[in-house]
Amino acid sequence: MELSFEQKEEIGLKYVRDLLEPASPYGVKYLKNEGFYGPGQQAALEEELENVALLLEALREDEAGLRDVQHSLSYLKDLSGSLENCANQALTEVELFEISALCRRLAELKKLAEKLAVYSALHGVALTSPEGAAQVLDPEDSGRQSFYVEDGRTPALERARAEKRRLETALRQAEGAEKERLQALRQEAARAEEEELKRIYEAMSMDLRPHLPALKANVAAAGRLDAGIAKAILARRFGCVCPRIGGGALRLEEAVHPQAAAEMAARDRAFVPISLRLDRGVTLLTGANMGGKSLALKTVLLNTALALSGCFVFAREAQIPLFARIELINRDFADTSRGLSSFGGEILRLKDALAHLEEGGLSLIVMDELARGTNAREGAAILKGTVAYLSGKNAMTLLATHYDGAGALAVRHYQVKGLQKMHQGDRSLGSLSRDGLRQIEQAMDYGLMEVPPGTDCPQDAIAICRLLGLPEEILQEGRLSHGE
Amino acid sequence: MKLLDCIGDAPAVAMLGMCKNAGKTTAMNRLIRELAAAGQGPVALTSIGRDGEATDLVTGTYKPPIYMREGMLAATAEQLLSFCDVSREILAATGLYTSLGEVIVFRARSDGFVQLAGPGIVDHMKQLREELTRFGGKTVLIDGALSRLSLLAGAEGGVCVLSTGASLDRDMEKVVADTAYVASLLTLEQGQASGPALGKLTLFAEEGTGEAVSDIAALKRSGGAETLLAEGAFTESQGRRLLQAHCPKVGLTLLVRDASCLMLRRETWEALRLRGMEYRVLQPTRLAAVTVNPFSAGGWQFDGAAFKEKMQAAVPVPVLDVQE
Repeated sequence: MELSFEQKEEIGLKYVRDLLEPASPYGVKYLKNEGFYGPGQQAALEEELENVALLLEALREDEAGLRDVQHSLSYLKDLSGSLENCANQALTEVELFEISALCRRLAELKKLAEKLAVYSALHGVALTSPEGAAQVLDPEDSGRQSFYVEDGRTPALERARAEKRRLETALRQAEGAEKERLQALRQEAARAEEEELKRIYEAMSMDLRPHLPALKANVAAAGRLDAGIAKAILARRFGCVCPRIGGGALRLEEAVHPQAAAEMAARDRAFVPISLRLDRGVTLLTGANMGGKSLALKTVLLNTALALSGCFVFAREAQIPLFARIELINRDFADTSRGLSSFGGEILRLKDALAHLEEGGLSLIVMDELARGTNAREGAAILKGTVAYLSGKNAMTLLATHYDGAGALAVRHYQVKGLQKMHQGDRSLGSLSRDGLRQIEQAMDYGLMEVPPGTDCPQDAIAICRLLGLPEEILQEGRLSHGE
Repeated sequence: MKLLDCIGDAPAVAMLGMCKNAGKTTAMNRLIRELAAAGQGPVALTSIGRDGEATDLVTGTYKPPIYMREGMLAATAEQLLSFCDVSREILAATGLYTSLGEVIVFRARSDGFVQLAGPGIVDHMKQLREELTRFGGKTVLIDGALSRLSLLAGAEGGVCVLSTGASLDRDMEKVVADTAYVASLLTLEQGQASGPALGKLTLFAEEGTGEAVSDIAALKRSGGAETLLAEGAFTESQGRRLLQAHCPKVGLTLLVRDASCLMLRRETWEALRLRGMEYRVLQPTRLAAVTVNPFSAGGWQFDGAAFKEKMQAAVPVPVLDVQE
């Protein structure tokens, strides 16, 4: 399953993933490569989610301990290049230093991680002792934090260094021609030292090779632990819950879109959580303009994508089937730059999504006002045909639309509650135009309610226009042709 | 006289040169030797940008490399390590980067030659100095550059040594005058602005808020003591326009970040000064000594004793012949 960068941005997944703050480059890499879990990976996904749950528990029971682990993780440097190089070439002194530092830090991380009560229950984060590699790099077991090859490592090194030292001592007092003679001799001794060191570094690199798989496994485990902690911290911050994975229906209780919620909070508005259930077949979503239909679609997509990438979800409760694909079919402004009209781009995406259906596996298809870019009569026909086609397929489809007539074929139908409060009262409020946007926000009920499939779409467009302050003459004209 | 005596126990010493082949590296080596002999505790070496090549990249003349002593620390770019023939104990990879790779800190386990390339960003230099101090460096010697004085900012109690020599010009009088000018920049007193800068140039009355100056040639002055704060460089053309401006210069103080921001020719600087203008810097430098090198890369040479004597008469700090 894949989503494009633009789609991840569009549905808010990028926003949420950017809120994850791993402490180490290995955590960053783990999250970057994690992707989505799909069919056949239920156990793996559940293990990942269980890790988050356990780390959330650790955050609750032993926050200081977990912060120590995170702190220790923050000292890990990305040495994947050196670990790769080591397999077929000699490492430099700086690389050898870095790997010995990595061994020390991994040993410390292991010690701290093992103090966590939940550690042994975590999946795929077993750290092993890097002693073997450390032994290669510091055979004297000096325990030093630095990297230095002692004179006694080889007789040749000992000889070169002794000669060099003798000459350097003599040089401290020497002058003129004698100084130059000693300099030349010293240069030779220095060259001999360098050559011998090169041989020693080669030998060390070779001796490190058998320990590379363990080191790589260790940094991978550290990365997974780091990513899990980041996910747990995010889950705690937003009160996210663990989704149940699998089952024949998608269910969200009081789901929230955190990016939209943050934007609304900045304007003193509260996000109205949405609850819905999708089964195989088409679920319709209708409602007033500005009633938050698109946002509802994004909330479903975002939380599904989060669950399938091993994160807790922004909801009170969630059940997410293990989809093979998530398809978002909406109008995309990038299409125009490819020479497609927005309608053309949308139809091509629909065609691709339908083609994917034949590959097997359950799809989630989300469509935001399919075919709105064309004339209403044909648009409604295309929509109706699509709904009929999708009704028998292995897909759960959520479709937001203004078109009437598709409802009869839908398995379920939700409507944005919309301007109902106003309908019951005075619908012809004309004085709201000064701050229409705010008025609409106040009058609009963004909640979803289930209605019998086929219920007519609410006709709120003219009321919305009036609230936004469009001249009354236009609205009268519109009303006449609308048959009122 | 020892160079070390001029330095005292300054925690940071920046070596600056008036030109190529001014004897900066010779002066640095001399200071290293004196510090080693005095046994004052670990010395740490680094550089602003790259330095320490065996031949000068500009003129192709032989350039003495830096020779460090056992026990000293050095910070240099990873790619230059293979050009250092000192036995190295790697202490840290700093996470600070230069165009020649990450800055690595090592301890010399023998005497030997080093090539230095340190950070070129103010904050990074500050971090590196702290790191070197953490590893026990008591005196940090920085192979510096006049044009990059700002990189030495925040070195509390730090000093600098200015090297000059015959390579600057065939005319000894000119070398002395130019060097004296730079020495006067490096000894400017600290000034303060009474408010934040409001633009490239801000004029502050003695007390009260500043006013942005859009055209320096039309500078209006109240008559009292005022400070003209320049954000960034104060250039030669700005200097000349200020000179031509019909305003009194007495009572006017020009305030810049550090001496490297004053990009005035000596004549312009002097003309403004004679008309009563004063100069101040936000980050003062402490010039500890001037070293002279009577030999030039061009083949000519000055009379060593006369050169030193004339220089001593022109600058307010001790003058040493770098070869002595």
